[in-house]
Amino acid sequence: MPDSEKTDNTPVIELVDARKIYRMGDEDVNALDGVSVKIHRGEFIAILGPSGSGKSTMMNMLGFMDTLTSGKMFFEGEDVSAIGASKRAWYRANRIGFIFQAFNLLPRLTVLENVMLPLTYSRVSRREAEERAREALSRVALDHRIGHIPSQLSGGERQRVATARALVNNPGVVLADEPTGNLDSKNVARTLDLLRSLRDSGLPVVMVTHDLEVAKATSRVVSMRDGKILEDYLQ
Amino acid sequence: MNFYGAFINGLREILAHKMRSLLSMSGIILGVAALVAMVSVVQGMVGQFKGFIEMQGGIEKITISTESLPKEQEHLQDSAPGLRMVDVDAIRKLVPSVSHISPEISIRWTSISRNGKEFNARVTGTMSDWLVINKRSVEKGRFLADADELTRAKVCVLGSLVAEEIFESNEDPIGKAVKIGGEWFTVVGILNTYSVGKGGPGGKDKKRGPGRWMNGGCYIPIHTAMTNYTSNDKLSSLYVRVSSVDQLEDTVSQLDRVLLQSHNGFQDFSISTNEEMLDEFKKTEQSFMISLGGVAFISLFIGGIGIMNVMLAAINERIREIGVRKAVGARGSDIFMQFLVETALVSSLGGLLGLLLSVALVEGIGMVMAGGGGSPMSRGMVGMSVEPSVMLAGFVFSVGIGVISGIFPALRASRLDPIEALRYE
Repeated sequence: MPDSEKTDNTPVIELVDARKIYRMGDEDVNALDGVSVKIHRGEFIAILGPSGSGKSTMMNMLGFMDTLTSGKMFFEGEDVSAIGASKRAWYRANRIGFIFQAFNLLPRLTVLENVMLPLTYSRVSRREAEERAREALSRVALDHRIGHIPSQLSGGERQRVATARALVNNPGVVLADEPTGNLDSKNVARTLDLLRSLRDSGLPVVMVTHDLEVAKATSRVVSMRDGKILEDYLQ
Repeated sequence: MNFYGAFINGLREILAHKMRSLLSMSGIILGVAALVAMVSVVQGMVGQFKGFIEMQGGIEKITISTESLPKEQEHLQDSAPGLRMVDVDAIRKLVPSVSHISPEISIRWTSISRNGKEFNARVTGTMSDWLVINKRSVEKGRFLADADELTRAKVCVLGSLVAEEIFESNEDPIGKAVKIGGEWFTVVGILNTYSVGKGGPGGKDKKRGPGRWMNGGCYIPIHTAMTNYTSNDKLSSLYVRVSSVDQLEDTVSQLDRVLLQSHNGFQDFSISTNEEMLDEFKKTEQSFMISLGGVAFISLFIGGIGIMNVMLAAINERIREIGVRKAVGARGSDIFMQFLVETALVSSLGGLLGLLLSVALVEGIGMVMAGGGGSPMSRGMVGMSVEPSVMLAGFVFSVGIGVISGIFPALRASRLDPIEALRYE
């Protein structure tokens, strides 16, 4: 859809009757079973559910890591249900910001290089990549740590580096997979503040969690079970 | 990720695992060293041998030597005429493809003296064509001339070593008299110094080995030699030069026919060419190349497998990294490129180390050969070196091995599913 036709009401991501069926041995598993959901700008959404509920699969779909078995997915108004692997990689490099539970920083790269990583895959010049990485690091208040390697940082600092990495490509959405799972309560609060500030700047944030307390920090809760959406409410 | 990024990453991985990298490149190091050293040694041998052939008068030269009779003629040995001056006339008349002919009478090592100075020289009676056939030249004065033969002149041409030994450095030997085994001769010419090989004891030093052989001679007219030393017209050997190499084979068979006829059917001579020597040498060179090349190829092959093995293990260790890279936007081709460049980097570093080792090996082989005495040829090989083109070929080979052995691991890495890879513990 051309930019001129997009309105503020166009969801950033929309899933329509999305299904994902995995084959495990002789059995088919419905990891996503007819899920329809719209994610708009300025939303901070918690996807809540026990393990095996389909929240990770949903996250993989939203993050262009996996493909639907059936149904439709739209990203910023474009139908992306049937795009190929390299186009999905393009979306991951340019439009998605991923924050993982285990931080997933590369141990041999410096903080700055870790943050620059998505830009090296979106063909941004080295100089520009460095500039943008510095900006992103100053957003998470880590500009004094750019030359360090991850093992020299605390858990909270690593999570902030991961957050800076998710922001560096100016994504259309930030996806956070249990971002508070490995943090102490002080850093949990700090991370949630950071995610809320992203939402306040208009960037939608989707966070997978199984922690009800953490989910309370969000503006909308989508709870899942057995691949289906059980509840979807604002708070 | 561009090539530069992949290069820097690869370098970082190699430095992070120095021991593993060194071990994985060891096969390539040995393979490249073996390959380059082998080619250099064989090239050195070929070069030396070609020089040796040149020293022997080149490919156009045919040697006719006196031989014992074959078995079926053995009982007639006393009647065998041997090589004589009449053979020279017969060849001149009947074998038109022969451009130069040089009969020789060897008078062995004979004392040459003057003003109390003495030198033991190799005295040879020969004719004017000797100079052309042996590809030599005169530094001062002239060589033997046909007129010297007619007058049986007592003149001589000295090798540069002989002249140095019996004349003062500020003295002009031309026109001076020297005593050769009791007879006085006038010096008419000095030969140019012949240097063998590039350096070392067998090379420039003209007082030892082939240097002494080539520069320690004294040449007198053949008829003078017959009159004063041998008292018959028997020749030690006979050398001819063909006008063109194409006619070599035909000339050999014509010479055989003409000589057989002038020797009344006695096969008391043999004809050999430098080409035969060259062919023999080429066969040796080939077998060297095949056997050593085989060894080098096998070690490079094993080196390639070693690198592939280490890379596969490294990829297993880095599955999570691959997952992260894919999650933040790396395409399969980016991952492929990253691992391929890394493997090529490991093997080209191995190649560079192999080149260093090969230079040391070639130096070592040269030193062993120089120190061990050995033949003039092997001593001449001291000058052998690793040619830049061979080094370049060795390096390109190692990069090629790296790229080939890196394809499979890189392909495996590039096909990893990002979700699976991220879950990998």
